[in-house]
Formats: sequence, structure tokens, C-alpha cells
Amino acid sequence: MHGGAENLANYLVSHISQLGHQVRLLRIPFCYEPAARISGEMLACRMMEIEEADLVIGLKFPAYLIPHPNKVLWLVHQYRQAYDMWDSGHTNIPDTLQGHALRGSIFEADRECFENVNDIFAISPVTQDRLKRYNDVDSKLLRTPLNGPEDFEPGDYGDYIFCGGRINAIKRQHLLIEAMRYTRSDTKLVIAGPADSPADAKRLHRLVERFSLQSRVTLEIGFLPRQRIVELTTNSLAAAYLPIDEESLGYVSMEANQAARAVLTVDDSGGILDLVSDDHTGWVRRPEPKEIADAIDRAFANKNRTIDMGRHARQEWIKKEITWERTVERLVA
Amino acid sequence: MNVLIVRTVAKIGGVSCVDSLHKTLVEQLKQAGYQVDTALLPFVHDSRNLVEQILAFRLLNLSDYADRMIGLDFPAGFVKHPRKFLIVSSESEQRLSVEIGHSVSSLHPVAARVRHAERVALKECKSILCEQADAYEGLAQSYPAIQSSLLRLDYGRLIAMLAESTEKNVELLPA
Repeated sequence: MHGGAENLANYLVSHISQLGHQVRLLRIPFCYEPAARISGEMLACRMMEIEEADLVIGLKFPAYLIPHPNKVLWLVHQYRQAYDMWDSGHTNIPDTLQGHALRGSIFEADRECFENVNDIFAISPVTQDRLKRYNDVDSKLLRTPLNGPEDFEPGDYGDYIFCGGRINAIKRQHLLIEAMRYTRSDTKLVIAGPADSPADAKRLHRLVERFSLQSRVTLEIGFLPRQRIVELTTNSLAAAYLPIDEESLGYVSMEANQAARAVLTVDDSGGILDLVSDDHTGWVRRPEPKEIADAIDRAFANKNRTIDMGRHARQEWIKKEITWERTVERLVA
Repeated sequence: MNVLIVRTVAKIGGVSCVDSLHKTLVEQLKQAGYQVDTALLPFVHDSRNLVEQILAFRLLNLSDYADRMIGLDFPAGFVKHPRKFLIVSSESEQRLSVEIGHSVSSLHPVAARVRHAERVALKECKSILCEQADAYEGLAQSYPAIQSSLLRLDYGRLIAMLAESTEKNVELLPA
């Protein structure tokens, strides 16, 4: 029931509190299936009231629609299925009169909200571009800091590539498994995280079986304690993260960089491309199994080079100074 | 099985009696092996906007969000779920129809609407568990029709009921 945005909100509350402010977190459940329910949920948020707050920070749709005279947005999630995912066909909004009306009401609710906030921060250039393209709204870049960076101190380098995070078709863990069938025999891959649905988990298990990769691909599917994620990250050789056009840098890749691990990604993964520089801090390939396999082979063929790239990645990450202290200063300014 | 606890947030910087109830409930549910999540909703105790805020809560249909829902006091009890349980801490503080009685006449249209909304929301609950005797007595007296669902709060009993709960039809709040 918890994802990256929920963790982000908890850390934000904690860091605002550390600066001496009084702070409360609101958590509004959002069910986007069936899509017809979304209108009611938007309306519910617009009818809610917040008591005695000097400032409201909105993060996600539709919670950011709750009115307040002094509101800033740190935009983590718009309802992308009404925007770019509608254009790309990855939407649950039907292409019917009702679907178009729903999409129009989402545009309108967002427009009204964006016009009435004091400031809009976006978590990545991808989010900024999308906001400009679809809503004609300018925003300031404010990236999400890493939560608990001290946990990800570099450890010994292991013999596997680690791919963590939620498991679903959008995160494309299946591409890594499809790539593994083309790699040399000493490569190993560990995929770990909670599956969005039983079908998502089954799909990966079936691929591993179909390509007889049981000895080289490990699946740890389920909600894992943070300590396990830390172990898997800090003991890996490198990391991989291949989402479709994701807004943020991605916790998986930030944690990997903090742990001095190079990251493999693909050229349509979105925000992460601001972190991964091909052949310097990782590998950027096209989202094709054979191309990804080539990068995996390179990571294992010259491990010293892979380790050097991981160290470069950590240096570049630390240089960016994306910290909670700076983030909270800007949000509550 | 996952359980969603729905509650409203206390004033910023303040602590409400629901905070300790919430903490105990989460501990008890986790010990029993449930996955627990909490919805934290804003609410302003102001009779001028009460009906709009109740309607906002009614618009949240969390049927597919969790297997079971436990509302902590009103107004959380207004949120819809086919397997909804309600825990009421204190009669005098937590029922909006009682609260609104302090500011407007009980014959005022707003008071009548709030009472009606409470009646509908209470009828939706699989069980209503009262932490204190005054809550039990007050609800039994005001809403005799729900008497069979009224219980004194007992975590062991609640956990057993969560496991065996069947679906209950969720009615729409009449206009």
C-alpha cells in the first residue's frame, strides 16, 4: 500500500519538523479503477477543508486539489493517464464521450489549482516539460532527495546486477530478463520488490522459466524491509533501472549512486537520464534486449571499469547537493 | 488481508484522543497479521461547512482500496466501504449531530441532514464498537435501529469479526 511518494511525504514531514515547524501529514486514498470514480474523488478533495495551517504543500493528484489560500505544489504525480499516458495509449480512461469528459475535467481541475497556488516545484525536468506542454505552466526544478543516504555507504562489490523497486510493466523488469538470455554465462541478475499485481509477478517467473535462467536470475518478489534493500544495493556489482519515461531520478538509481554503483538504463526512461552518463556513470542503451545484454556483458567483462564507473557516479551524485535541508528551505520559504 | 484505518487529523500541533486509540489499533492489527494502512483526512469542525465536508467524505468510496475499513469516530465513519467497522471513542465529542446541537437548534435543516447522514453511515457498518459507556448509551438511544450492531470495544472480538466479515451493501447518501 506504500510507494515512493508515501516515503517521500514521511521524510518531508520529518525534515520540516526538524526545522522547528509544526506539521501534519494528510493521506487521501485514491482509487483510479474504475476511471469513472475519479470525478467523485476530485470533487471530494475540492470540498475538503484544512484547518489552521499557514502553508499547505501538495504532492499528488487529487490531494493537491484541496483548497488553501497559501499552497505550494511539489509536483510528484499528476494523473498522467490523462496526459502523456493518454497520448501513448497507456491509459485507463476510455476513448469514449465519458472518457473525454473525464479527461477534460482533470485538465480543468488541474488548471484551476495551478492558477491559485503560490509556487509550483517539479521533481524533474521531465515533469517540468510535461507541465509546460500539457498545462502551459512554468515550474521550478526541485528534485527529491535520497531518504536516509547514510544507509547506502559503499560496501564490497558483488557478482550481480541489482534491480529494485516496484514490479510492473511500466518498470520493465521483464526487459532485463529478456536481455539475460543473450548475455555471457557468468552474469547474474537480482530483481527484488513488491509486484503491483499477481500477474506482474507471474510474468517474471514465467520468463525466467521459459529462458531457463533459474541459476542466473533471482526474483525476490514481495515487500522487502529497508535493510534488505540496503544489503542488495550495497553488495551488488551495479544496478539497473529501466522505467518508461519516469519523472524522477528514481530512488533505485539514487541509492545505487550513493552506494557507488554504476547504473544501467535505457534512453526512454525519463528523469534517470539526468543521472546516468553513458560509459561514465553507467550505461544508456535502447530498450532492446540485445542492446541491454551488451551493457550487462560489459559490466561483467571488465569489473574494475564497472567499479570505477560506480565511483564516478557517487562523486557526480554528491556534487549535485540534493539534500533534505535545501529542499525544505525552498518549500517553506 | 489488508485493513485501512480512516481518521481525521487533529489540529496542527495538537493531540487528540484518537491518536492513542489509533496507535493501539495499529499495533493490535499488525500483531494479528494484518497489513495496515491509514487514511488521514482533513476536517474542520465548523457548522457552516459541515454538510459539504460530509459529502466530500461520502464521495470517497474505498471499496477496492482495502479488504476491510475501520473508521475512527465521525466524520471518518461517513467514508463508504462494504466491510466497514466504526470505533466511536466518546459520545459527547465525536458525533457531529451532538456537536452541531451546541451551535444550532436540533430542528435546523443542517442538524437534520447531519443526523440523517449519520444514520445512513451507521447502518452501513458491520459493527460499531464503542470505547466508552457514554458512546454506547448515546448511540443506542439516538439510533435504536442500529442496536444489533453496537458493541463495547474489544480488540480480540474486532479482529475475529474482521476475519469473518461478509460484504454489506453500501447505500448512496440520498440528496
